[in-house]
Amino acid sequence: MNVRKLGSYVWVAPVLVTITGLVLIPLLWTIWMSFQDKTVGGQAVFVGLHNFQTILSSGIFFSSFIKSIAYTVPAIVLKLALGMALAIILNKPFRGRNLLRVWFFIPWTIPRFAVAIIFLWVLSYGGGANLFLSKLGLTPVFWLGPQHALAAVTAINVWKGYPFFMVGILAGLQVIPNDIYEAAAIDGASGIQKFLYVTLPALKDVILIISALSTIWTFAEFDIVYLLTGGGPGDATNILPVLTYLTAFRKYSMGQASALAMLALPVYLLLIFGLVKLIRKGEA
Amino acid sequence: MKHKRIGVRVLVVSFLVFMSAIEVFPLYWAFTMAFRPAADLFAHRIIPSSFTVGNFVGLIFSKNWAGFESVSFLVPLKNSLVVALGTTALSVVLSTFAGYGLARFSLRGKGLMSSYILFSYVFPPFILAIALYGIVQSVGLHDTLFGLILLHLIITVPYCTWTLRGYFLSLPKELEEAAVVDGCSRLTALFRVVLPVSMPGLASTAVFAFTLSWSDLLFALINIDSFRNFTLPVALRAMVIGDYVRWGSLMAGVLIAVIPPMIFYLLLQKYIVSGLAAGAVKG
Repeated sequence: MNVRKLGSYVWVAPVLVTITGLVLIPLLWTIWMSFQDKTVGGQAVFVGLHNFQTILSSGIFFSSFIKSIAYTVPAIVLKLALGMALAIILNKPFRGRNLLRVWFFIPWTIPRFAVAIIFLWVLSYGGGANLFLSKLGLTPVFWLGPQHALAAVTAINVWKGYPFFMVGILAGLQVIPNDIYEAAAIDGASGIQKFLYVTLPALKDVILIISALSTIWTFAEFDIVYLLTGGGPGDATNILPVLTYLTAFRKYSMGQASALAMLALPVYLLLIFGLVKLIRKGEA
Repeated sequence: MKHKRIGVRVLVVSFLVFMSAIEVFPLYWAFTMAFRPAADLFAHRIIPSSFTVGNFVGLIFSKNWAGFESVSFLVPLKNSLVVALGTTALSVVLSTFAGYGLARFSLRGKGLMSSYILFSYVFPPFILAIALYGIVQSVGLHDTLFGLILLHLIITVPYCTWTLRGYFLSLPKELEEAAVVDGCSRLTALFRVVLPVSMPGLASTAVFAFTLSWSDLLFALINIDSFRNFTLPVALRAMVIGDYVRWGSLMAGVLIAVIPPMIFYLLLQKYIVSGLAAGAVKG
């Protein structure tokens, strides 16, 4: 290898070193830590599978895992449905279309922590949602109480996230060549047939990538749930990222928190590798 | 046929109105609260009774926003700016070189490197937070803004590298080949020829890096302890965990935190998908 060739690697090296130091090494450290008993500031002691035993036998991992799924799956389905509907509507030519595209994009521009605090106020007992109900003659609701909290944080995630699906699908729609639709029309295809046999297949990759990306983000969502409920009331919204955070930084058990992260890791890795493969395939 | 058309149109318009109402109600409720007098709070009024900037004045000029005497609210505002600008500058510089290298040089393992960067971009930060807390502490950067900037590089560097790589790939190769044939070094070609035509890509990448850093709660929570180092997300959170919440000044604070990213995003809306989905969308 000549010097010039070696020189090319210097361009990429700083970023690779940064990522290795901030992502790969911490990940390996967490794997190691999941076999240790360690509190913040304390010495790490090797305890084998003890951490895993503790979080599995207490059932806390499974109950949290199920809550994460109950949070993620409906959120993705709703975001996809709403985003798709808006994208299809806003892909048709009509006056004011560009304005509406910007208008429906607004929730995505608001930082997650700000979305959480806005809804904390809207959903508080004396807040806007209950005021609205009382104007309609309905009884106020404890939106963040044990019964409704999980549904409420899921709805907030949908509120914040549907524009991402909308712009992604809209971009996908714009590159479908018009002559395919014309050909389908000549063959006598109805509107629904055109959607099923032309639009959906053409959007397949876009929908897969956006859904995978959003699933990773939603399954790892921390800000909204942590700020609105802190995982409560009780354990009602104690999804995995919040539980892991609380275990590490409230219970100060780094070992158990790492074990929780390790048990969740396969799900993330599956999604991430699938996504990376999809995106790299699209590039080729 | 015609009746069906009208039926569809009514359905579409009702859907748009419904979605608009759902979108706008929380924002209306939050942002009018920022301009309402405190008396309005218990009067159950949807329309504000009067308009005041008192919440903003109180937030900025009293040092009592967190429920006790601490620093001025301008301090977290300044810290958020410092951290976001520092993160942006560092990540854009690092990512420009890496993005260009990945787009133009024939490196062994280039595909693997690109996948590694993509992997880092989507890897969940909460898993890394446990270890990073210890790592940043051990190098003595706990509770410092510089430590937070380093942590934010996780969120911004993979994103910026990936986006800029895509941007450079979209430029014609002939652009700098002529310059290199004329005897320019790769570095000179990058600065004289490539970067000047890449300004839109660089600018939008920088702006998104800024908003990513500006929006971070998790790393600020684990790395920042003292009020003088608070960024906006942790400062606003401190206003929520007090005994009672002053919704007016809290919403004034939220409004201050929301405006920069909102303006940036709306100005650069067309570049947003180009980041990640582009690979698939280009088809």
